[in-house]
Amino acid sequence: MFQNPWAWLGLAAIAAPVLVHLLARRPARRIPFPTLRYLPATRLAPIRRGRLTDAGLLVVRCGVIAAAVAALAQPDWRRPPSAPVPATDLARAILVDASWSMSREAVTGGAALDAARREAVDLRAGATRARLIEARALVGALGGAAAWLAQQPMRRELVLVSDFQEGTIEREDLRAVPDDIGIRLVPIDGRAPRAPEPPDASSAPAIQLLAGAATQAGARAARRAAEARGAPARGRPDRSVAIVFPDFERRGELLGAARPLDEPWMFDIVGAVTHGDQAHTYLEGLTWSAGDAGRHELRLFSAVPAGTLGSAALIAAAARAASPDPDPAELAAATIADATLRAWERPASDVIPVAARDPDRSDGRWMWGLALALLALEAWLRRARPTPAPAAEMPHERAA
Amino acid sequence: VLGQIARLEPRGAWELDAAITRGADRLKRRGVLLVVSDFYDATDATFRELRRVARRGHDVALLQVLSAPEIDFPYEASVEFEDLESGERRVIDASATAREYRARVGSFLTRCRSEAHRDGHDYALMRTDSAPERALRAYLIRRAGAADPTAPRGSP
Repeated sequence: MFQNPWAWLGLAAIAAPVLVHLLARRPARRIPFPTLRYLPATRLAPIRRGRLTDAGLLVVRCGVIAAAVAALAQPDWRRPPSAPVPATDLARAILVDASWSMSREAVTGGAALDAARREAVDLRAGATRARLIEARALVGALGGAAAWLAQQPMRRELVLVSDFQEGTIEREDLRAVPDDIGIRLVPIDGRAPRAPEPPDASSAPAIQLLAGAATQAGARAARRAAEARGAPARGRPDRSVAIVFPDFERRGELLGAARPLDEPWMFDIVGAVTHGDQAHTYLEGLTWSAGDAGRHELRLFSAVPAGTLGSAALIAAAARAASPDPDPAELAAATIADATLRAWERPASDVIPVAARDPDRSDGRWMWGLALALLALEAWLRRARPTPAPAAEMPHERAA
Repeated sequence: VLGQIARLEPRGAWELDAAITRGADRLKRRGVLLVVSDFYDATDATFRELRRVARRGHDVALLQVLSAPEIDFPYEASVEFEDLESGERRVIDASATAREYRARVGSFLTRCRSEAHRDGHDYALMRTDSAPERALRAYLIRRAGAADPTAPRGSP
């Protein structure tokens, strides 16, 4: 019945106003008196309260704390912990596969990714709450989607829209999704993938290497080593990428002309390089400048000399990131069978755990209201409390 | 007499013994010396002076005037008392010390009354929460009753 029952430990705070009430020192009233000779000089006042006074005020103060603690416990008195939720409420996380294979033509025409997006929009419209996520790797996005769904106080469903190539996702990946979250797999049928186009002889190399005269041979050796490790040899004509080695004569000039990245493809390449293997550790800096005819060029400033193993790793990482060629796995034609996909699916549970209840909809807000009302009462009581006065007025003079 | 007393403004300190002597010296014939005081400052010398006045043939009456709070001490909790004459201040727990204070004041009043009766003086305790004319009338009635040899003398 309480979403945060540990908050009840806060009831111990009720001891605070009681202790303050007992220990607080209050100012002594000053009373003119004819003579002090019969007042016991040795009984200096213990001016702490020895007993409870203003019990009503104390009770109200304790009530304020109790109400606040009850509010923090987030009571939920309207529904029992595992009561069914309305069948009409549905939270849906829609993962759209945005990998290279989804650029293939769909059976229905147009790119498979566009068809997936249209499907996702329809799915979103059918949910009470929805979150649409495009991901190049569905498996990597599963955790975030499941975490979002776990917070939704209604039936939850995870939808994957993909061409479901072999290896896109495995049954084990889906087992990591909590059992009370439904799983729906929506395949987008695409035509057979096209084979990559042969290298365009006129296209620029994947990476331009800017090295000093003394290390030109080393730079070429590093490129060959990178290609031997599977780095593509060609790049995209509209994306110029250069690696500037430390001994390049104009390195200082290029650094001086450095400007921030601003093209999306630059961020893609930089992201791929810096999140790849160890290549990013060989980088000294990132910059770009306008090339010929207004063409933008991404320049990666290497911290290691051309011809070293590090330079080869950097060239390989950058070339892979800049290449238009897909990952060979994206070219696979085989897809996961529909029967398998159906077997992996499961409906959304009609029962949600307490932890998924919406804290904004708990009855705690009523307790906050009660705490505020008690605070107002406490302030009124404090002001209405009569100022302590002597039990009898003392004449301000002695008889004689 | 009451009118003159009512017009008095209390101020400063006084020497009780000297005031008694000065008052008695003004009596050219046998008379009545009424001493109106709280007698807080009374000493053995004070009662000795009163006895001397009585031996000269004057009737001596002690009217001890105290306020009700001085006698009843109705205070509670922490109170800072300020001496009206010396200005001295003392913070005490009135609830805890009330009993002891009342005992001390009661002892003081008993001593004053005993001294007065021992020396054959009239004595009356007058509380300021009673009208002075009523208190004085009660005293005079008692004094008149005291003239009757069968009536007790000097009872408060």
